[in-house]
Amino acid sequence: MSDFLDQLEAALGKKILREGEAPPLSGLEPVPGFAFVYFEVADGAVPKEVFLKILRHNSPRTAKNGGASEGSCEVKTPDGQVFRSMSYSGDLDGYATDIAAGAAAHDVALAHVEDGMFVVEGGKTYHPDALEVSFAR
Amino acid sequence: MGDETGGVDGADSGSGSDDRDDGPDISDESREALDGSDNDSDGPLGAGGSDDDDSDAVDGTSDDDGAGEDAEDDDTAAEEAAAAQERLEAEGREVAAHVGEQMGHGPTGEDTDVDADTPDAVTEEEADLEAEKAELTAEIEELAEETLDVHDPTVFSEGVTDLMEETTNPELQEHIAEVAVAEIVEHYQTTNFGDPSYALGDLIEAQTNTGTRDIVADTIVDWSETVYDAGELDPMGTISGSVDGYAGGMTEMPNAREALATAFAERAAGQTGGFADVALDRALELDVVAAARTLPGEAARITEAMTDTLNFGAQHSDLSRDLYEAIDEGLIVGADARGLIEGTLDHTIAQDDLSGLLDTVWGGSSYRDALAGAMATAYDVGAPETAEYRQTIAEGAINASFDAYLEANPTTRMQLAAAWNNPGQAVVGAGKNFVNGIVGLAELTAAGTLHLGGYAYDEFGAVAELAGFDAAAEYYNNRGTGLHGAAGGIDWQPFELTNHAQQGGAIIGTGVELATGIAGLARAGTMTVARTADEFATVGSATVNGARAIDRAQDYEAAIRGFYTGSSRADRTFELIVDGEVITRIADDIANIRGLDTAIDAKYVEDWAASLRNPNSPNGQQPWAVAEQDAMIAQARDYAAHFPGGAVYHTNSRDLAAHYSQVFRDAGIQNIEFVITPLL
Repeated sequence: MSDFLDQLEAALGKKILREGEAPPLSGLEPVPGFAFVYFEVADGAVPKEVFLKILRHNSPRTAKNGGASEGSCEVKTPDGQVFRSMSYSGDLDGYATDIAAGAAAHDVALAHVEDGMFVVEGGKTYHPDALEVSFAR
Repeated sequence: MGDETGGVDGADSGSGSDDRDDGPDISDESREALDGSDNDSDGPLGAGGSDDDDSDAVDGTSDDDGAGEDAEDDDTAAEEAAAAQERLEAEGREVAAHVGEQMGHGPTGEDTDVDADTPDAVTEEEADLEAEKAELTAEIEELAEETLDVHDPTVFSEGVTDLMEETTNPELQEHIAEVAVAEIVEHYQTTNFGDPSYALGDLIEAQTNTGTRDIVADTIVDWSETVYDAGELDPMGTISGSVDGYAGGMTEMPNAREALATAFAERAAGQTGGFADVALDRALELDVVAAARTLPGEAARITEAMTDTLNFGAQHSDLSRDLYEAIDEGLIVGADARGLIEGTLDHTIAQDDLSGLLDTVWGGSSYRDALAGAMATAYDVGAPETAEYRQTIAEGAINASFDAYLEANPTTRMQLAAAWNNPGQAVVGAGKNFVNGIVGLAELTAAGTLHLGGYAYDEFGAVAELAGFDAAAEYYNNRGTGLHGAAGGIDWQPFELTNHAQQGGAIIGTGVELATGIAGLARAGTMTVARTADEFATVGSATVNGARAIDRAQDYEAAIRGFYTGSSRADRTFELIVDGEVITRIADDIANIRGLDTAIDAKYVEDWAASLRNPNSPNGQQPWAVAEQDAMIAQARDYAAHFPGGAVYHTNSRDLAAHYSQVFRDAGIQNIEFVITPLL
């Protein structure tokens, strides 16, 4: 497998995350056309369900086009809060509105990366070095 | 699943007990159930033996127990009980109780109606049936464990089909279907495979006769309705999209699509609201022609539903094609047909179809011919070679593109109005924008130049003329010798559109781009890199062992996933919004590449020369092949648009990689990488 990933990295010219490696914090590097946000995953909650619960709150949606994807970046703060990344594209403002409304309605904390820091909305701000970042499987 | 099956069995058994206790005073509901058992006794338990037994009952047999209050029923009951026992013994089964002893009454000797309800005897038949059902349930569950968890739904389908063929009892066949469908859904929902549509389709397709095929299809519809009634997520309804939804896994299963579409349409017949509407949508997604045939006289309703269903963007081409076939068959006619075509154009995602429309006029393919044929039928505009025909299609395309554009961009109305009032400036704007679309992206490729210079510019004029922009048409038609000549005094630099008239003209140009797809050839950014077959890197190798091509494709996919194990995560949910409709999908596999979530996809090719994904293969222009090719594009577009890292495609075919890297590039799809993972 390692050979395979080595070959693939060489072919693509891009770093591929290996088992046990921590991914970079999603949103730290901007990606044109995409925005990143993190939602809290409470103990025992299933990230996919939280993701869908947040998105499906607003009906009809404010976002008129685009898409949102459950991300693979999992962040644990020193306080023990666990967040999962999600990305969205297209109608960024519309999605931001929908996500904020859904999170508020379901009492789910949101976080985002701002100026290189991990900001829990309405809460603390962390330097990335203080976080446990992992690739969520 | 197991709970559900157990519940059903339990309910049936309970019903039997109640019937026995109640004796002759059984309820209507119980009578129905019992009648059903009577009928069933002519099935798998041996039609001849059963009939004989019934005849004996008619003749009457003596019993020393004498007559009782319920003598008539008891007489028949005794006969049937004996028959039931014979059957059970013949099959080597253990009989739960001695039927005669249970009776406790003798006959009167009076011949009675053999169809009279006879609770005790029928209960035995039910017990027998329940035993068979339990046995079948266990067999199917075991089969599912052995096959579905290892990605082998075909073996599962074949096994279930064998069980189906071993009986002619509809109740048992329905039970088999019910358990099999539940197993598929259960296994696919709990093992991260996500989409059970292929396995369900395969189960229908594997049936050797239309009777059991319909039973399986009906069972799937029953399940869908149950899910709907419970307010839960229908995994295929919510995934519905380019390669997903009920139709997604059944792309190459025309029988399954037709049977399931018919079953859904039957559930929608004569009803509206609730599941009936959902069923109609499902039917239309699967097979518009089958739905239209099943719902004669409901074309208006189909028209309305189609405009919604078409929102499932990536399936658009499939739906359109089927729709056009339905129109061609005369199943949808007149204003309904025209409304549907216009609805189609309104709901694109339109570029592909609009360019297809105009290609029909100036080129064509079987799929586009189908659309053109449908339009010609609906609008009664004669043969494809007539000017009226061409104009109708072009006007439809242009109008649809402008209508959609204006609806989405109110300010454009003002600009367009200015263009109308100043056609000269409009022409300049159109030209500038047209050039901006290319030069600004530094993508004036040889292909783009060829298209622009070869014929497109003349058509630009023709389209403008059709759209009513006479001045623009005259301008371009007079130039007429290709892009450089037509551009005239326009400098080859990105332009600033200086006034509303020019901006309106630019909109005209945009409309033309939409209609011709010309700009799509050149629009780039971080464009998918097109390479020749020899230029793709080889990464790893995969072993495939399946007996059939489809099995080997699954082996290949599993092998690719295996390479990423530890570096990827299956079953990632994403959603997209198309025309305001929210569609949820699940990607097969995601890896983190360069710090970005990237979709991973495997494309196995058995024989590129014969592949449906190859438009130059013998069947490559057949509608179903075109649908497959469209699905490839739609899937790539979704990946590119919704995963920050785009997608990496593994394929064993350099030809596929070369072809689709170019197709994706031409379609303006970014961030798709192909690598070759050959077979060992």
